[in-house]
Amino acid sequence: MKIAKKLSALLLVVLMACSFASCGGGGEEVDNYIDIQIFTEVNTMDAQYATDGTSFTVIASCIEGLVSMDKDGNIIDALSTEQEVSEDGLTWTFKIRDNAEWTNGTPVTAQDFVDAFQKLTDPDYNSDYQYMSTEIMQVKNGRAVVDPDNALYGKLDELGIKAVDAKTLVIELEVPCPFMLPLLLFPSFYPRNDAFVDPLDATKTYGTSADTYLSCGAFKLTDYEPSAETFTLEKNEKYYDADKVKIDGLRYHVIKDSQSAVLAYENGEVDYTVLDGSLVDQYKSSEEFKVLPGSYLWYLAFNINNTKTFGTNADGTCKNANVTYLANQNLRHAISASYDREAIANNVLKDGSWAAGYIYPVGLATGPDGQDYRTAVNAVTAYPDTQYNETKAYEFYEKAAAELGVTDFTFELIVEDNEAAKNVAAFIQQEIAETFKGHITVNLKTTTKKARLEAMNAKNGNFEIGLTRWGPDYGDPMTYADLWDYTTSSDGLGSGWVDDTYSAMIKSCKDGSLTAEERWEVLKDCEKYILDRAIISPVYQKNDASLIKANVKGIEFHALGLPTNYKNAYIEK
Amino acid sequence: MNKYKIATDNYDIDSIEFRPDDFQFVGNRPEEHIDSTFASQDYWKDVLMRFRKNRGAVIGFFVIIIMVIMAIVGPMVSGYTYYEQTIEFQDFAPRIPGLEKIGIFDGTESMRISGGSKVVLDKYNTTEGASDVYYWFGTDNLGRDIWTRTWMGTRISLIIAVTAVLIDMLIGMGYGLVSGYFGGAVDSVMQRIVEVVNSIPTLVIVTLLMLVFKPGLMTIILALMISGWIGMSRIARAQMLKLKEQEYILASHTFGASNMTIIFKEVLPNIIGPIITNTMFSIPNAIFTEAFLSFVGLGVPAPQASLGSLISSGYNTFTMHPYQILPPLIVLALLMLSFNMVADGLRDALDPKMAQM
Amino acid sequence: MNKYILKRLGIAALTLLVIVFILFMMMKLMPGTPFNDEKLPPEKIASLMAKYGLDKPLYVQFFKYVVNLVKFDFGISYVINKDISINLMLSTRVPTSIRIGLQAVALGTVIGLILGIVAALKHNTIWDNLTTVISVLGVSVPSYVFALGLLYVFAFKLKLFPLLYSKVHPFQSSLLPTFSLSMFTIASIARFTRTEMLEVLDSDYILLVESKGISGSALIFRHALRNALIPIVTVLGPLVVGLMTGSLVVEKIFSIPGLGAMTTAAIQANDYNVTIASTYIYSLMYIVIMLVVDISYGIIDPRIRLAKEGSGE
Repeated sequence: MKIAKKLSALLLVVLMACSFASCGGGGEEVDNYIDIQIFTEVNTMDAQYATDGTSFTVIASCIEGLVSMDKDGNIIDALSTEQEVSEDGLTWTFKIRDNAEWTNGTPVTAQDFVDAFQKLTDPDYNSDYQYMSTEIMQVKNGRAVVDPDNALYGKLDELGIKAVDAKTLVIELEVPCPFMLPLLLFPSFYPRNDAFVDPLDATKTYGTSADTYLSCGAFKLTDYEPSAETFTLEKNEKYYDADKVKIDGLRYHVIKDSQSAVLAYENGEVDYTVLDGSLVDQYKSSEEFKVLPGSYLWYLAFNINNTKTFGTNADGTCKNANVTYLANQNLRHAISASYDREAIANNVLKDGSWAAGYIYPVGLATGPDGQDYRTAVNAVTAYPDTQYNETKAYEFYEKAAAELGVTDFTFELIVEDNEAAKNVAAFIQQEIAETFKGHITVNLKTTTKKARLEAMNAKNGNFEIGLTRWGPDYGDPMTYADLWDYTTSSDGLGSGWVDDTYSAMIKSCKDGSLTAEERWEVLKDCEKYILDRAIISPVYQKNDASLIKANVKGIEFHALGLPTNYKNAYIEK
Repeated sequence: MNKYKIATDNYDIDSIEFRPDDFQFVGNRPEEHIDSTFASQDYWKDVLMRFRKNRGAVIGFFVIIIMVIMAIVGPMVSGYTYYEQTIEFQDFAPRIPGLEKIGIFDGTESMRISGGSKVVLDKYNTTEGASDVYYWFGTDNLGRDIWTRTWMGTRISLIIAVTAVLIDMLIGMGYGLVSGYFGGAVDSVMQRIVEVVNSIPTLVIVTLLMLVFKPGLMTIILALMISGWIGMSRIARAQMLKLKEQEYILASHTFGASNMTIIFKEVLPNIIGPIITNTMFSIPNAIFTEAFLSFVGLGVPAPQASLGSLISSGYNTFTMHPYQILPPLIVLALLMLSFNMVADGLRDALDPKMAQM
Repeated sequence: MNKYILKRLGIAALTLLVIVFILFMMMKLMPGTPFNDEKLPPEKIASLMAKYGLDKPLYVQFFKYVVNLVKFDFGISYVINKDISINLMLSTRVPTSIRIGLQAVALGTVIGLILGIVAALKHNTIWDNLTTVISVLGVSVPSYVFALGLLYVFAFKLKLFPLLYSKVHPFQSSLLPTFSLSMFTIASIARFTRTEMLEVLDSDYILLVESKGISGSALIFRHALRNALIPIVTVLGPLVVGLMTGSLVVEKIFSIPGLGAMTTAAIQANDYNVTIASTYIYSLMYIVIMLVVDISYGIIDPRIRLAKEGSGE
């Protein structure tokens, strides 16, 4: 019938029209923007409220701090041009740059930093990173201001940060902070213009569009909406160093799937993407392939004595027998020595991550002797029991079995729903089964990250073994060491391990009673103390395999402190 | 008399001649003239006969049979377990004894490395101790045998298929029949419940459930139990409404048959056709739900594998090692296709009116 | 008729309330609070719970929530966009999802109808078989597999379409997701149209129409298709809703800033408010669509309305 023919022709025309309409839609146009792939949406543009890496990177492109970092990791001037510290180390004075201004034309003043510190500390504002000012930097009166039982509670003017005049900022501390300048790289301490922000904050619209956001850094928001999948930052002409910014802007694309991200990269729709380890073989010989330093430590956490969920028997032991078994140090050592960390880094992850028989990551901190901590303390010789050794692991197991009077163990390993973490957990599962010839078995439980954190926090302790991670907040070993001090409030990790000796060690590092050298030695002892008792079993230090287009140069990556810096990036024509 | 006359005026009967080409030889095709007559046949024999005529459905049926056999036997014959990892043997391409000699499935894979050049990798011969090893479908990124994992995954999909049938038969059918039979207030309340359950997008219910309970096969089954029976309950209810006014039901009533007897002994056998058809259609749905959950990362826990989770992890490397995603993908597509074709065939066979279409 | 519509509306409102209640309870059963982060100490979590009123008794929270929902005030997001109003987040996402959904329905219906009609007219030919194959494939292969395939072939290999959704070229970049979403619609509509058309073409009144000398396009469109369309309207409703759930994965694959992508993110991050808000919107859309289908069907065909009123529906 004719109709049928006509209809089929129509169908063909529709299809053709669709494909023609799309021609020229490919992202091959050459412009002066860098297209960046990110895995998650920006959570918030509020510097004092943000907590995640993606938000920090975008915020740091828009707002600068008092100091910045060059590509070699040296601290350089940013919004402050002079930094002075008093002899006792308790008073810092900063001169704010004269030609710095916000995108609405108002100059950046010392008061903007006072606003920022006060907001960060404000108990009513409830920032997740409040402890960065009260506990880590230990700004004068910081703890008092957030302590409801203290007379100074909520009195933000009493906080030890003052604007002496428009361009002079003074910060007073409770105890000297040996890592003050690197700490100021952290975006929570970036300035905030309350005159502009407060009215918007009241309507919950601050930082939700280009009009509701102020920049003073190299770029400004031009096209943004909350949790946008794509958005653009444009060069900020009012930036004091605008002459040095060679690109017109940055375009961000949220691509959650690494395979799609790589396809987009190959198509030229993004210039920079993080590569999943499984695809590394295909690209590792390319000049566009780079391994970027990371600093997250992934480790196995044991529930040693957290009985909040499982409950206790009359004799004080945990009702979950497995938790009681894990209280046995030899058993924990057995598990820790049973799996091949090198194989995990090189064969499972393949993204340039390093096997970690240690806690403080490589590149985290430089000691008073000027050496990187990990160069000074070699993990393999310092913590032999934490390294992979099947024979030793089996000996530890035999000791544990004799002590506990049990020969066969089955534990549950909780792991988050993330391809790399799941693969690592499956590998460890198999290694444990082989090393102990079936006497110790591990079952995997996969959940979302939020549910894993809930199960593993100190309040619940609803887990036996968990594969978890911790990223440093600042460049000092303390960011890891105080995790296992049961007296500090930041114990997000519910091992239930209580040890007063350890707490005393941590306290001595924080109260300013030690010299820098003495403090450094105590921090070394802390790492040894934890690993000798196998409180955790470190697995690997995560690095990022990335692809960056050959003509995109000058992006500065830092393992910690300042987020990725695009200020000096340029595109070679 | 007059009429006759007129007729004879126009036609002269004697003048009509029969010529040879007035008639055509119809050929030796007697079947065109014979009505198909059947010896009084069993309804089910009839159905079987119609089903057998549907080529697609028969092929689908045999594919399902093969899949079931493979799901049972497949994991046992390769000599590997689904959880055994040999990390040195990771990402090996398929290699099958015999076929390797003719150049396919010989364990080599070509990989396009950046810069556009292609390299041919033969990991079996470059890895120590692997020259005598055979992985029929290759290995995954942890060195696990994809053959075994694919059939283990098929096993899980088939378990889910059986569960879907049971849920349909037990919950959906029962619910619909009861709701339809009693009518009135009972029906009203029961239909409101159906409406509510049906108004929440299934995948949202399922995803929430997976978060509340421990992810795994049992939770998937539970999730299916919550929303999988709706379609069937509607069909059963509609059929019941149609049949319950009929005289033979009235007769049963008068003889004092109990409600349950009427529902399950009198009505059920008469509506079994549409019910079987609908059951078959619900199988692909259930399999798809599981595949979706695994794809978003909430499927069965490792080291178990389902087709969905295999596809999901194969997708991560499909540009580099396409052989990792193909087996589960093909098996899933074949299963879904076969169940759909069988369902189509059954519908046509059970309801001959549709078959003529 | 008015009474019938009113009754349907009342039932719909009640259904919605029950759904909100179920969702609310489910969210409360979910493991974890929205404030889980390895960096957050327990006291901090407690103070955040207090800030958002999550420490109040359940019935207080529920009542407050329902009152706000009626006013279409979904509150603020706890996690995925800290402290930002959900209405603001929805304002750009809902239109995007609806637009792509409608595109998929439109495309699916047009292609499905064409395939169905061709198959019915060319019954038992290669065209018919082709349609059958397409429709079986369409219902058999999950939409995310189509999405992956289309992405790889058309965007990556042939470079005909952009790989990622872009706000600058919303139409071109939404074509691939539209296609992958519409496969199921194409298949279902084609299948249904074919069956209905065959039945209608076989009926006595088409014989009558033919005997009146009407043929060709007038016969097909004015007489046959029109009668075949009525039942097709009923399958369209559930199909539209099916599209919405399909979008959960497809939006993730193509990086589309839509409701589906937000829902998946919210569920995984325990963002109670956002999850309830988006599920509420899905359910609302579903109920509205079903209502429209029901009422319009009642208008088209009075027998249905009468039957339903009679049986207490």
